[in-house]
Amino acid sequence: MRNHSLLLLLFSSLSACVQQPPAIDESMRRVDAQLPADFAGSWQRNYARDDDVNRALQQAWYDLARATPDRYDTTAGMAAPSQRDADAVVALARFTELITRSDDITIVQNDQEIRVERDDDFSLVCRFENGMSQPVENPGGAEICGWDGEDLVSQLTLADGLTVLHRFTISADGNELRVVTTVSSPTSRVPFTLQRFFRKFERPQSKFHCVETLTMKRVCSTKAEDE
Amino acid sequence: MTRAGISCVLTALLLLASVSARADAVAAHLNVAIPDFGTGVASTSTYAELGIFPRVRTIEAQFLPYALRRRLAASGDWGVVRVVADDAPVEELVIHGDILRSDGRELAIRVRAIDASGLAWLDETFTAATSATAAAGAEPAYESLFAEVAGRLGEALAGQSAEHLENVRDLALMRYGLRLAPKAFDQYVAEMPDGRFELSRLPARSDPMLDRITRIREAEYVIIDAADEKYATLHEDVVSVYDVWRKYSRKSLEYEAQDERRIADSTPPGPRGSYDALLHSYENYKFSRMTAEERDDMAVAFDNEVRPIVERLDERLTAYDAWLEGKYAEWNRLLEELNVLETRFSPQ
Repeated sequence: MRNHSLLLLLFSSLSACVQQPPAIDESMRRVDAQLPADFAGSWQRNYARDDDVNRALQQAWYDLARATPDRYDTTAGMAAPSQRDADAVVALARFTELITRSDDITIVQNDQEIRVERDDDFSLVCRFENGMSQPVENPGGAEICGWDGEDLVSQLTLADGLTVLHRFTISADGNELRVVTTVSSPTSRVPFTLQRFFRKFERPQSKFHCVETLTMKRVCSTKAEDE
Repeated sequence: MTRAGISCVLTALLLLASVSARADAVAAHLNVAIPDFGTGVASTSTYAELGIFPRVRTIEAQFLPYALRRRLAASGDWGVVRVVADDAPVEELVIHGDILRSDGRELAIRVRAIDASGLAWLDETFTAATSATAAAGAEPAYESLFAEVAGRLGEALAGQSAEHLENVRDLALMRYGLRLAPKAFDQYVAEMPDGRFELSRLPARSDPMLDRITRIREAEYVIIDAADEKYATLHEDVVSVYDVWRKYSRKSLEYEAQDERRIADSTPPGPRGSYDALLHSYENYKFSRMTAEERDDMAVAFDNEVRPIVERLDERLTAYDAWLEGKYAEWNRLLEELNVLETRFSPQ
């Protein structure tokens, strides 16, 4: 019983840390002056601080129990969701783990655009025109971004209602980046959330300055970029 | 006179007649100016807004006029055909082009040809499509488009009376004079309410002001021809890269269309909400986004390769423009002063 209370306390505190991010409304899309935070740089995964997927899964199950208390017996210990609910949450967990697997990311930022370049995945793009973030769309879905205070929030909505929300928060000293990814689907009663942490690092400078060209592909020279 | 002497004189006369006929033919040909084409997009727009890379379009707008110039020059119907940096040149015939569409699959250009009297000879949109199965080395779409433009301009030329052409030639010179020495030349040209120009009268052939303007225009032609050579260099340097870009653009659009069909037709590999179904949905989006990223990278690659060439051209054109602008101011001042002296007119 004591163990169970401790577990509940732990889950509650985790739940407080990883709050449900808000959907992106028009006020979040608007930027009046400078972008509220600077994420530019190379970022390397800090596995020591990352969420453990299994614990995040337990949290999701607990959330599931709280969301439908009539269907779960939490007094007897760990909530036991139905097979269907469990499968749905596990699917979200596997999916979230997959799309947050990048070991390092590079963020390029200027006054109009933030581009989050990830290994083996498309770049998240947050582009501002006339003070408003612009959606990126294709037949498979749509991406939109905005600001929640100094947090950058990117929301991807896919054709079947699957939603992927990334929230980027930078530490006060600018050396640590937290990316909270929440995936929700109409097929799952609860979303699944996973936190990934990154440390800023200096990418080693190449001795070569390379540019891509159409007819000669990559052309490199030993000349420095600013020469 | 001996037979040999007579023969010699006859040969000389024939030669003279031939030179004279050729000179008449050349004189009958109108000179043509082609300014940079209109891009049809704001330089601040993005690909996301219009599906056009503004930087690539700007390069096309400088590159394509030379292809038209080459086609017109080859037709033999025209006098000197020049690509000019001035967007409102005074020439016997000015051909304006506006790129409406250029995506590797289809090229659409609105072409307006306006003579010095303000008469529009041609105002038409020309389109050319590139075949997906075009053989390597096949003529690019713009070449067939400009061949059609040259044909239509040739027809328009044939429809003009010799009198009108003569009038156009005179008007071009008078309007050029008007630009440089308005006080001396405004008596010869009248601008009509509909924007057309009419000759009021002509100066005497021996008019010193006319002689000066003619010589100044010749001097300006030397500068324009130097700029024209730079356009020729741009064309030579860019043509192979542009060819790759057009092919790439066409392929890219085909992939996008295929991708749309694939997404519409595909069925998830597992039940709704399963890991496989989630992944399928994400992969569909991801594939389209990565295709778009590749397309953006190619546009950057095109720009990387062509930018130094275009910058060199722009640099030279800016230098010519600055020189001409300085000279215009100087010529304008001198001609106005001379006009005052020669007409004994005092502004006081």
